[in-house]
Parts: sequence; structure tokens; C-alpha cells
Amino acid sequence: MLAMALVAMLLAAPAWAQEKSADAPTAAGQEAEQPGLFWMPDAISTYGEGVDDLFVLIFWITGIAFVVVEGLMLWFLFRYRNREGREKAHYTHGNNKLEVTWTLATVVILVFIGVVQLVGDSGWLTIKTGYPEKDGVVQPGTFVVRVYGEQFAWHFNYPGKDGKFEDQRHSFKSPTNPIGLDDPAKDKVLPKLVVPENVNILIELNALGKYDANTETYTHPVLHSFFSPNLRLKQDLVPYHPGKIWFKIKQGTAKEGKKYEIVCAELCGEGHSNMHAPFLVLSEEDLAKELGYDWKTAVPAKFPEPVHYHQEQKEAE
Amino acid sequence: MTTETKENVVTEDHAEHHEMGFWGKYVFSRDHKAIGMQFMMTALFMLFIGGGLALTLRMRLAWPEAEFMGVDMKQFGGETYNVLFSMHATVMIFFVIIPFLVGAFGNFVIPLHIGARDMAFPFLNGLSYWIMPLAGFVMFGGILLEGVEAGLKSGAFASGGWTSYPSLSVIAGYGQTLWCISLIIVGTSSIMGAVNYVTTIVKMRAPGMTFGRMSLTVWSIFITAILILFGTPVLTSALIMLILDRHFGTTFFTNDGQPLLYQHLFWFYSHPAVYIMILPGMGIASDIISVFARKPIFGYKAMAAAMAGIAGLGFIVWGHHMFQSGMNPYLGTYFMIATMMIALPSAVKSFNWLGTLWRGNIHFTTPMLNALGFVSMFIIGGLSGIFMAATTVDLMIHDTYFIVAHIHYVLFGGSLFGVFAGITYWFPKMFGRMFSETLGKIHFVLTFVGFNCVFFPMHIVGAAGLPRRYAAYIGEGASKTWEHMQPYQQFMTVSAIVLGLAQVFFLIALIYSAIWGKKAEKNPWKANTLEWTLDSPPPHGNFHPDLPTVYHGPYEYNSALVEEDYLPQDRKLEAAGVGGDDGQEDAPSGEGTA
Ligand SMILES: [Cu+2]
Ligand SMILES: [Cu+2]
Repeated sequence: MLAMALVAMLLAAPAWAQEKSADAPTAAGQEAEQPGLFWMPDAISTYGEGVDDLFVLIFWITGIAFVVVEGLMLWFLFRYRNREGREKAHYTHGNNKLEVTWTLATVVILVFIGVVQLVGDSGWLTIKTGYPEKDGVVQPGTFVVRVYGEQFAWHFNYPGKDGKFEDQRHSFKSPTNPIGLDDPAKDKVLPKLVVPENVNILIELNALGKYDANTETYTHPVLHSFFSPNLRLKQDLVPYHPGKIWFKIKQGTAKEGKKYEIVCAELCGEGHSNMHAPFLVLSEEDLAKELGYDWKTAVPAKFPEPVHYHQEQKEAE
Repeated sequence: MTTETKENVVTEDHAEHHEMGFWGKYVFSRDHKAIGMQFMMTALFMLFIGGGLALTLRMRLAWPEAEFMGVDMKQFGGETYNVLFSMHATVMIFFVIIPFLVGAFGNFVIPLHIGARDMAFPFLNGLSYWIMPLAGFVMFGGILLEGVEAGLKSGAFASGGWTSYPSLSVIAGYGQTLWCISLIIVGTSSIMGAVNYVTTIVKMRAPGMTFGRMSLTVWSIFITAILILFGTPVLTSALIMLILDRHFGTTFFTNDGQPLLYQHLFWFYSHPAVYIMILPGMGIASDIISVFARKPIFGYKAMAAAMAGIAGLGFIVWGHHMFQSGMNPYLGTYFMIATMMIALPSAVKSFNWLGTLWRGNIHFTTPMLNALGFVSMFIIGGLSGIFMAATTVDLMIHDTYFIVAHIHYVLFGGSLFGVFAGITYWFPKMFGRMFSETLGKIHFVLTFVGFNCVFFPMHIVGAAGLPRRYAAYIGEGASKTWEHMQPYQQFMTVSAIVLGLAQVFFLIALIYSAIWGKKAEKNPWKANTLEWTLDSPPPHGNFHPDLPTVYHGPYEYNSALVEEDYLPQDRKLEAAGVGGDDGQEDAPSGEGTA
């Protein structure tokens, strides 16, 4: 019967935890976010709430399955326990009809869960392939950022007034030019992600190798993962293979003035847990102040072809 | 097949080496029972190493900047923390769970259950054990060469996680190479074991022991061995490519190569590896539940088929570990649907365990409690897997504590409870004494409660997006997003200490029972399988002078044919006619020569 108490405790745990985390933010200071449903941080992307809905749907389906199966088990354990007057078990090798029924029912539910992941504005393919870009050309009105992750920092590269990303070479790297841009004055590089709300945002993800200009030694880039819990978005940065993500911030997020974070979600070495960067949603005025130009007049048409270190070496020869 | 088996059984071989010294009998033994026990003791020892690593990292997470009894938690940050969790996972997976379930129970149980005198290749069997310590020495070679402190500084330990993805694993210190070599050795040991198991099961079953009369434990290990044979070479090749990239200038995974190729190869083995670590537990739990519910297993054929289904599907779902890796999202869609399908056989198994309990006559012995623990925790682990199989939901919970919770519900709540169930069930056969019921029950309760208190909250922090493999979530330099969740960390750590102490208690209970436990009779559980017809412990060569003849399936409990509520597999019934016809409608008999 201890098992029963434990299951009751497990079921009660979420409620208890929610209460607890509700008072926690006051203690942790203003920067901590109000946890939303299921202790999740605020969803600020347009597809964030849809992702949460899918979580909740699976929570209920699996929750009911959990209660039914574990409940039946506990009931059987109680009802059919060995005791005085119960010395025989019912002899049966099974029931084919029952087997087929529960097998089919499970298939239907599982396929349903799978298919709903794919449809609608928060569908898997919408999030992972619905880039505001056609045939390699960025759609007008898209806010474009190039992100570099290295051990252990994030660099956010905005195209600058000319609306064009500079070429990047490891040999150009210097303390004032951390990602090695051709002409660093023409782009804007910040250690934080600043974006406007209510427009499509397209980001290219690059893993950046370590290059020491003094010794001319180079270390391979490693995997990182761009993760914003508030966007409900995660995508690995794959060395030598640039990736892309897109999202759109919900209207009204900017005026809340909250500070979010981009964190690294793929092990990248000793500084992995400290690899995070501020992430701010700004009004157009504040954004222009941060960037030093009006991004709407400077939307790049495309990302330049990346040149990796080993290609750079060949170029140099 | 049935007639053939008799001739294939090695008899002479065993009659000869009855005269063995201490070394031959206990150390370099070729007896499958001794080798099984060696695997068990080694895995038990490694369990405490892996557990110690886990407790260290739990302490660090709860109080990253505190000091306890002169131990400064700050020193466990950064690279040291990466070493801690990498070694924890490596030890637990390759040196604890697999040796326990496949090495220990595979060796100990298979010949006894199928009615053979030993494994098909006793020498290979001994070798498969003896290269395990070698693998351990290679893995921890850094400590031996440099000591812990200097070793940590010079990169003598692998710190890239048990997954060791490149490029991090390409540029890491020399410990990464040791790690690769060690796992190649472990893989070789697995393959040796698997070859032995498959051959033994196919060729050496006693007369009348058809495939349809094999216990589900044997079925599960049979299927596991096939998984090992197909999966392990792929891991080995990935590790060799990694070594080549590290030391010989190749670029399989860097430059113009493909970093994702490693992930594909790694998970092609490591997804089936999860089943390697759970299937034997399923088999053991099935046997134990049937024995103590005093009832035939519900849907024997469905149970065996479900395990075969898991094994088959297990090879086409690996991409579910790579949804956010940059793999083509359309491929992700396929892997999601395939993964949903693999939840099906798991669900079928759970329903069948329920069906076995239904209208049973349930005895709550220690092995039974642990088997029930296995089932109930595996159900949670299976259900939480559905969240991660769903590509869109996975966007949030991938690489968070949600997956940490899931894998521990499967591998600790599942596999390790299966191990406890197996040890306490076969303890009388192993040591000739009964495992103390009182101590066993105390251990079960402490472990069950402790386990849930450690790992259930991980679902909650995981749903909030808490990333895994972080050395701290508060304090200097840490991310601010999850600061308010620190009380959970502390609760989990305190529970983990209780859970750890419970395992020390298990060790004490095991030693106590082995020395002072009640003497075990031949068949203390009144079970049907063949090992219970032998002395406890069984003699070298098991069955003397003749091999048993099998007339029934392994789950004939409360059959109407006999007075008692059990019917040993080798008991011939006068009324039941000739040649092992059980006379049951859907009894698992007769399909014979599969
Ligand atoms: Cu990282
Ligand atoms: Cu998997």
C-alpha cells in the first residue's frame, strides 16, 4: 500500500511544484521569468504556444494511460494477492481478441500523436523548413542575423547599413574582430541577440573554429546548440555545415521589456554551462539605437558562401 | 531439431575437468555459472563507482559553490564536471548494466534454462569476461599513469559525454583515445558473449526443449545477443574512424567530412543498445511475475514476438536522437513515425504483464517486488519517451533534464530493478542460501522511493527547458533562466544520497545472506524451469548423469493437470500422452522445430 501512497505523491507532485515555483521568482529577483504552464517559461514566438499545446496533449494522453495502467496494476496486486481463501490462480495463456484490441488501439493513438506534430502553424515542418526565404533569396522585410558559436561565446553578426554580410576568414580574427570579418566596420557584431517583434526573423547558424593569429594554429569548431526556451526552438550548430532557423516574435513582447537568454544546449567543452548570451526583443526605436542603423532599409538578399579554414588554406596557396 | 540436440551436447568435456584447483574453479573458470558470477561481482563493484560519480555531480549541482567537510564543490565545475558525467554514463552503461544483464544473467541462466551442461564455447566465454577488466584498465589508464589530479589537467579522461560527438571528441585530450579503445574491447567482449549465447541456444537445447518452450528470459537474451551481433560492429567502426581522425589525419568527421555521420553510426548501435539494456530485464521480470502470480504468462507468443519486434524496429529508429542535430527535417518525420511504432511492442508487453497479474495468486516476495518495480517504472519511462519521440515537442525538451529523467526511468527504474529482481530470484541457485526477505524488502522500498524522488522532478525541470550537462544553474557565470529551480536540485540531491545508501544496504544484505542466509532447498519458489530441479548451487556440468527431457512450457502454473500449483518442465505426465503434449489449447507447445 506504500506503492499507492507513492503514486498519489507522484500525482500530487506537479501541483505542489507549481505552487512552489510560483513564489520562487520573487526570491530570485526581477530577471527570473514567471513560469507559465507546466513550469515552462513564457512562450514568445508565434509557434511557441502551439508547441506547448502539443506537449499538453501528450501529457493528457500519457497521463490517462499512466493512471489506467498503474491503477489497474495496483488494483490487481491488491485484489489478487495471496491470502487465506485464495490459493489458486486462474489458469489461462491469454486472450487473442484482447491482444489484438489493445494493440490496434495503441497504434491509433500513437499515429495520432505523430501526425498532429506535423500540421498547422506550429507543425514540425513549418518550424524547421518554413524559412522566410525562397530559392536562397531572403524575403523582403525579414530581419536577418548571422550567428557564430565558438568555445565558449556567442557572436551575433548583423549586416550593417550596407545590407550585406561581410566575408569571414579565420586569419582576419583579432580581439576587436572576434569572428574575422573582412571589414568589421561595415557590419555590426554584438555579444547579444536583439530582434524586433512581429516580423520574420531568419538566422544562419555557424560553428566557429579557434584560431590563434600569433601561432597560426587552428582548432576545429565543435557542436553547439542554439536554444531559447522562450522561443521553443533548438537547433544544433554543425561544424562546417551552416544551418538555418526562423521565428517570429509575438506582438506586444517588446513592451514587456524582459530579458531572455540564448543558451548552448549541446556539450561543447569545459565552458559549456557558461555559454549563454542575452536575448532582447526591442521596439523599432530601441533596435535602431542598438544597431546604429535602420534594419528595414538594410535587409541582405542572401548569406555569403561560408569559407572554412581548410578552404582558406587552399585559397592562400 | 529435438532429436539432433541430444547429439550436440558436449558431455565428455565436462566429465573430465572435475578436478580443478582454486584458480581453475573460481578465477579462470570455464563454468558458465562461475563466469556469470564473476560478471555479477564486477558489475556490482562498478555500480558503486558509477554511483559515486553520480553523487559527486549531484552534490555539485545542488550546492555549486559550497564546501562540505573540506571538499570545495567549486573544483567539480568545468572540465571536471564533464569528466564526471561522461564517466558516470560510460561506467553505468558498459560496465554495469550490460555486464549485469547480458554477462551475468545470460551466462548463469541460459544453460540452466535450456538444459545444457555449459555454453557452446566455454573458453571463449571465460575470455569474454577476462577482457572486461582489461577494458576497465584502459578506460581508467589515466588515473594509473598520472593520478586523478594531474590526469584531470592533462586530459587523461574522456569528457565528451558517453556520446563523444566530434569535433569535440576529435580535439579532446588523450583520454578520448583510451575511451575509444576501451569501448572497442568491451564491444569485442559483447560479441564473444553473443556468439556463445546464440550458438548455445540454437544448438544445445535439451530434448523436448523446443523454441516454444523456452523461458522468456532465454528468449530475451537470445534476441539481445542478435542485437549485439548486428549493432556492435557499427559502433566499433565509428570508434575506429574517430581514432583515425584524432591521430592519423583523416577527416571523416571534420573539414569536408560529415560530423553527423558519427552521430548516425553511434546511434545505429546505441539505440539498439538501449534495448540490449532493457530486453533481458523484460525477460527476467516476465519469468518472475509468472512464478509469483502462480499463473501462466499472458500471451507468451505475443511477448516473444514483441521482443523480436522491438529488436527489428530498434534498428530503424536511431534518428530520433538527432531531430535537432541538423538532420533533414523530413527524415526526422520518418524517424518520428517509426519511433511511435516501437512504442507499440512496449505497450503490448506492459498489457501482458497486467494480464498475467489479473486473477493471479500474487506472492509479494523480494524478487516479485523488484519485478513489479521494473514494470511500473518502465511504464513511466515508456510514456515519457513519447514526448521526445514527438519532433515538435522535442524542440523544447531535447537535451534537457527531461531526457535524463526518461533514460533513468528506463535504465535504473527498468534495467536496475530487473537486476535486483534477478539477483534475489536466482540468489538461492547462486549461493545456496536464501536472500533475506526482510533486508530485501527494506532495500526495495528505500530504492523505489529514493529513485522516484531523484528522477521524477527531472521531468518537471526538463519541461521548463533545463539543459543537461551543465555544471551549475546558479552562481557566478551561470545562466539566469533556471535560477528559481534550484530547490528542485537540492531535493534531488538529498534523495540521491538516500538512494545511494540504499545500495550500500543492498551490498550488506547480499553479503549477510550469502553467509548467514537460510539454506536453500532445490526449488524454494516452486518454479517450473529446469534450474530448480538441481541442487542449490548446481554442480559443475549442471545435469547428471543424463540431460533432462522437457515435456511442458515454462509457465504451467495452476494447471488442471496436476494437484500442485506448478508443473516442472521435465515432469512427465502419464495421462498427457507421449512426447510432451501438454494438452493445452493455446499452450506454447508443439511448434517445436522453429
Ligand atoms: Cu555548449
Ligand atoms: Cu533511441
